[in-house]
Amino acid sequence: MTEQATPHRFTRRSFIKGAAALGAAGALAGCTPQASNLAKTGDAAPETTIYSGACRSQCIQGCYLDVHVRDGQIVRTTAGSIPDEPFYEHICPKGLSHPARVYSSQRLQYPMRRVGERGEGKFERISWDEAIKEITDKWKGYTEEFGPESIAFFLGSGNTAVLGGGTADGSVMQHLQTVMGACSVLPDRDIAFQSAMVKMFGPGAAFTSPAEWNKAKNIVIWGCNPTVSCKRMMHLYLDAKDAGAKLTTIDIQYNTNVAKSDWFVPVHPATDGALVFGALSEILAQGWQDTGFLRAHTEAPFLVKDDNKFLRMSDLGVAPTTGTNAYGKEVVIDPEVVWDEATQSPRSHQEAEKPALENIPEEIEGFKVRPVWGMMVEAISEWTPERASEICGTPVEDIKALARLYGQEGPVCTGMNQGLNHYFNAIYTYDLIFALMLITGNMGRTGSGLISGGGSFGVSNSAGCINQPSTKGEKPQGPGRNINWTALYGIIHDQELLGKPFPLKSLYCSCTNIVSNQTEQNETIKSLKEIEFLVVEEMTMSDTSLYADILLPACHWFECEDLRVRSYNMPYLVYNDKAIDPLYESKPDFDIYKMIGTAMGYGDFFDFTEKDYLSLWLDSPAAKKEGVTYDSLRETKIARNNQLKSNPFEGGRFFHQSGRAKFWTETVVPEYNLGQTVDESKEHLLLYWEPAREANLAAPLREQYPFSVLGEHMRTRNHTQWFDVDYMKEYEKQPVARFNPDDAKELGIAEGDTVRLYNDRGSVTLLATINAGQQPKTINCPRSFLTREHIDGDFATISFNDYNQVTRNQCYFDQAVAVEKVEA
Amino acid sequence: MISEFPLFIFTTLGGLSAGLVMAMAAFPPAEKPTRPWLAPLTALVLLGVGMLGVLFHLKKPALFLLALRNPAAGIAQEAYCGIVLGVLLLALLVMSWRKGGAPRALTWIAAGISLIMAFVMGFAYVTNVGTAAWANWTTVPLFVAGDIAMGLALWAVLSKDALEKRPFALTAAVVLAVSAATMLLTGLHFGSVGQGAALLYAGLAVTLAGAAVAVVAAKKPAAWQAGALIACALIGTCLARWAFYAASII
Amino acid sequence: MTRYGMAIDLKRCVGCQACATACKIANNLPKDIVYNVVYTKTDRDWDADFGTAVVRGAVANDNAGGTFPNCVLEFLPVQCQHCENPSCLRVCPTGATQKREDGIVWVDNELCIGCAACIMACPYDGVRSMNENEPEYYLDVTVGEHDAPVHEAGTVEKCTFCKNLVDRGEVPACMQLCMGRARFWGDLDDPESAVSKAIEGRDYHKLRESAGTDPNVYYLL
Repeated sequence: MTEQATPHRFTRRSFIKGAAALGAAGALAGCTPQASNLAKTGDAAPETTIYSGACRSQCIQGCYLDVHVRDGQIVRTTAGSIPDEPFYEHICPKGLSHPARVYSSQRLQYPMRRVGERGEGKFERISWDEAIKEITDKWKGYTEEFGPESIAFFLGSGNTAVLGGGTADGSVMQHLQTVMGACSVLPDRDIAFQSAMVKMFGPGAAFTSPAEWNKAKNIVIWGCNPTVSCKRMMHLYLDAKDAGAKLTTIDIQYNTNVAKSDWFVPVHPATDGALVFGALSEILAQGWQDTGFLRAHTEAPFLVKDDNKFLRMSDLGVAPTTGTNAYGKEVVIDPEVVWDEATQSPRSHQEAEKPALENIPEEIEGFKVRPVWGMMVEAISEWTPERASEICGTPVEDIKALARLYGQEGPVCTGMNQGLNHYFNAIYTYDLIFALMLITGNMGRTGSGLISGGGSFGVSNSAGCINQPSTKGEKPQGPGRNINWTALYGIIHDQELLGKPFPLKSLYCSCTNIVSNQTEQNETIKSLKEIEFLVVEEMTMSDTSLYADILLPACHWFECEDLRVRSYNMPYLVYNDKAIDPLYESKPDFDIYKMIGTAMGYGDFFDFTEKDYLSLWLDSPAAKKEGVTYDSLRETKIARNNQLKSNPFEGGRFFHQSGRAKFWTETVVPEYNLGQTVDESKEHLLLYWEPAREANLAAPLREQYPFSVLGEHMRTRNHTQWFDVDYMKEYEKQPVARFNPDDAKELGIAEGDTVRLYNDRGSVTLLATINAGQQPKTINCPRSFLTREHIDGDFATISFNDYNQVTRNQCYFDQAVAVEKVEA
Repeated sequence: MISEFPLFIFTTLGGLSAGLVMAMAAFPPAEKPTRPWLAPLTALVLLGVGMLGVLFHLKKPALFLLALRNPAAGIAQEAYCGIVLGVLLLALLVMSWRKGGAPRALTWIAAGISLIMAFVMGFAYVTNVGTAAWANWTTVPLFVAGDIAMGLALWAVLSKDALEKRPFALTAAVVLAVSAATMLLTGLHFGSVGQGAALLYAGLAVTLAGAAVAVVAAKKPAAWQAGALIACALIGTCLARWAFYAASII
Repeated sequence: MTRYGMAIDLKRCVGCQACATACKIANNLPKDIVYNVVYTKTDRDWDADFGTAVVRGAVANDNAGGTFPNCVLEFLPVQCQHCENPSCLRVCPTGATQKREDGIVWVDNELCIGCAACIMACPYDGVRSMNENEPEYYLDVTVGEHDAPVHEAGTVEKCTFCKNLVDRGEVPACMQLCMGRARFWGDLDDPESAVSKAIEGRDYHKLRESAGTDPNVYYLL
């Protein structure tokens, strides 16, 4: 009762001794109370060493942290200091609770072999040698009998580094895949945003950097809640607001981001494209389009022939030439033709003085032509603000006000991330929003553009890393095919794809929780139950870990050195020090990949140190120009890329060969081929809209399943990472479903009631919570809980796994459910 | 069960003790009592048990002596009063037992300390600005009047004949009426800060009944009245105190 | 004379819980002890009640009030206000609760006897926590600063303004690093300090001023 606090130094050694005493269950049993804590006043202060940490779970922030180590133990993390640009300093509850991840009771401690059923989580301990031998014996057998494509890697994004983790950015895992010739299962998520950018702006980093946001008159955040999912940006938005920008949020719910905005534009789920059409209708009616910009910087003046290709100078008898593009590739130069108003004749768009948008002849030198702008006007003419309002639910006066904002109150920065991506019609939504930005000239000029995260570090030598030859000069055989996520189960079950044999025998998942994070969980589980041999490499006993045949313990990020690759909001590379040794028998991914590669007989392809690999990764023009090397990074910990333009489309120059932004796709190339029929009429003109599949209020199935469900990100997790950090449960304790108060009343549901959401794909039982910010007929559920954390079922079972005809993109929000109250 | 039950015990029993001492001083027995030590012993035991209640309230009761360090704190002041009163009561007890009685001055000093203690018990709650129901001037008279009311009632029982004297009976009636009035005022204050006051009004009713008994006693003393008086005073005050402590924010 | 205080810009607080987490870890707080709670509020009457929080038993944070689409959603971080005239100071019988010359109000756990008078006296409900039993922790290892507060059964704890860090020239844990750049601290008597500059020219609110405690936390509106 009245014990005095006594000092107790909890060393890693004593921890491991205790841990080794545990049984074969694998994970530590629950928490025992700390013996006590803390030095008495008067003791000499123990030394704390600060190491650099790169937090990198792909929340797209990638923060630079100080990792505090005392007596060989990680005790605390704080935001690292960036003296030149302190506005890039950041840390969040996740970054702050890393000590709880390092010393989590859910850490995998040693390699294990499954002894129960897949998914039961029953394992026996084995040695590393045994584990590697079993994996590679099996893989060598498959390769010999069925070829290297009998093995597939899942390159997820749970650890966005170079040496560890499995990202497709030049990681060692990707090199292993390339050397082995294994296939890659594509995550196929968050694709439409990227695709639309590439289609309309061309390949390249398209974001306006935060340095310009203060110059915007209006900032529109569209379908994104940066207070939760793009955290580091939030204070930058608020700074811009303080500098005079009006902050508008277009969203389906009143959330934290809306609460910080000046104007809230509500919209029905996935109907943002209709909203855009309504705004465009008003913009044209008022003559607010930026004609000068359209003429000079977009392909709106281009002319489309009957074969859907642009009229080119070669059609007019001018021979094409060759040259090199910005990437040093050799290209054919055959400029598109426009009608020059000044000369009243067809000319190359590069030379025309005043490319016409209207009053263009229907036939030019024998070719029937349709002007792109004419087709755009025609598409827009089918809409009015009234029609749009009926579909999207936004009041007509708000649609007109939004039109005025874009048309007359620029420069406008438009912010978004992946929220709009998670519906079946995502690609059309993004196309339309980008079109709105282009038509009103809110790109390319100062204080305008697309904001999501500015500046990744820039081009690295990832290709060089992935394809590096062996010490004997041999080239890797090259990666196997990409497997689309939707095709995976079919391939596993039928061992064929599109009528041809595809003997897929093994799947290797490293730091990725596909059971929780892909759509239609019941199908994922079927895949994992039926695949012949499953290898999982993980830090914790995640839901995917439960299915492994061989489970390999990866160490925590701070237990090994690495370089953080992906960061969407920070133009800095971050070098991660090794702060402590790996706990238990866990190993760095780097070591594991090398062990596997060597045991597969490819030792010569893995004869490099961490320094070697990172130095090769940094062997790029961008890094060279910045003077960044492995040694310099170990000194400075962070390195900035100063060559990124703050406005990538400055002067209105886009990344396409034409230098202009696109509204018309000449050749429709689906991103995947699973034998689907493609209605190309939807894909040529980038001004098309159709509703989502289930989130569409007018869909017939809504009679049976009245509520659409949005799976919101959590403040305290990145997907399912941090599930094992009990601190975080003080803020987000258990799975919940947020209901609009009127909906709840109708359903007879009160705060804290147990409810079941279900459709014909799956079911989840969780607690109801009332949120007036929910739009009626919508439900929000935080989407990062493991199956074991739900009262029953799992949230990930209710979504469907299917792609739009051209975009290989999973739809995490496009699901409708019915609700029933569960009596206690 | 209210969270602050130990404090309820402390202020009720301690307050009863204080009230008894004040009654003893103001209305000394006409003849020498057969057991002069009974009242001081009763007061001492009540005080002792009450202060045990405080010990049960503390999470580290072994360190209770630390509670004397800050004179500005209500708890410290209660402790000072309690300790001094306890010493005085012990002296009264010894003298009553050995010599059959104690100097009047000693009883008056003890009564003075008792009054201070009753005041301090109430005022300690007034300083709790975090508890809106308590941090009001009504709290002091609630405790002081209640303590004196209970003490007079107990003295009526122990002294056997105090209630037969008209001045005593009228004093008891007035004090009980005042105590009832403090419960009304406290009840109104509770209502104004959204705190339930039902038990306060119940206590008010019972206390008024006690006042009625005292009025009857002033006119026509009878044997049953002392018992009825202590019952009403005790039950009435306990009901009110229970409601008071139920407003604790812990 | 140094007079430490804080400013919290409610226009910028987005309820991210970073300050709550930073505090919890830097101070190695037990499971049941919270110094700093970030409440979700569905109105702007900052004094009436602080709002709801999962850590105080709510089912979920971040729920708005009002009627869609006209809603209200605010966040209110509340910890010890390090008052100029602390009601807790007066009622503490042992003198465990003390106020330093620089304004920081702290509790000496060696003097605390767990009488809870300070909790009853403090008008800012929830900022003080009682260690009812032997403290239990989320982890088997000690985290936070080597001189984090002692957590002892039968004693009361609260925000210490990270005096252990401040005395070493470092910043309080909750200030490192607010996501919205909404938190400021420093010497209120120094017009050049970050906190004084943050307050300058801004409308502000101090919680429950009618209690007479004169808090030193300024909520910028």
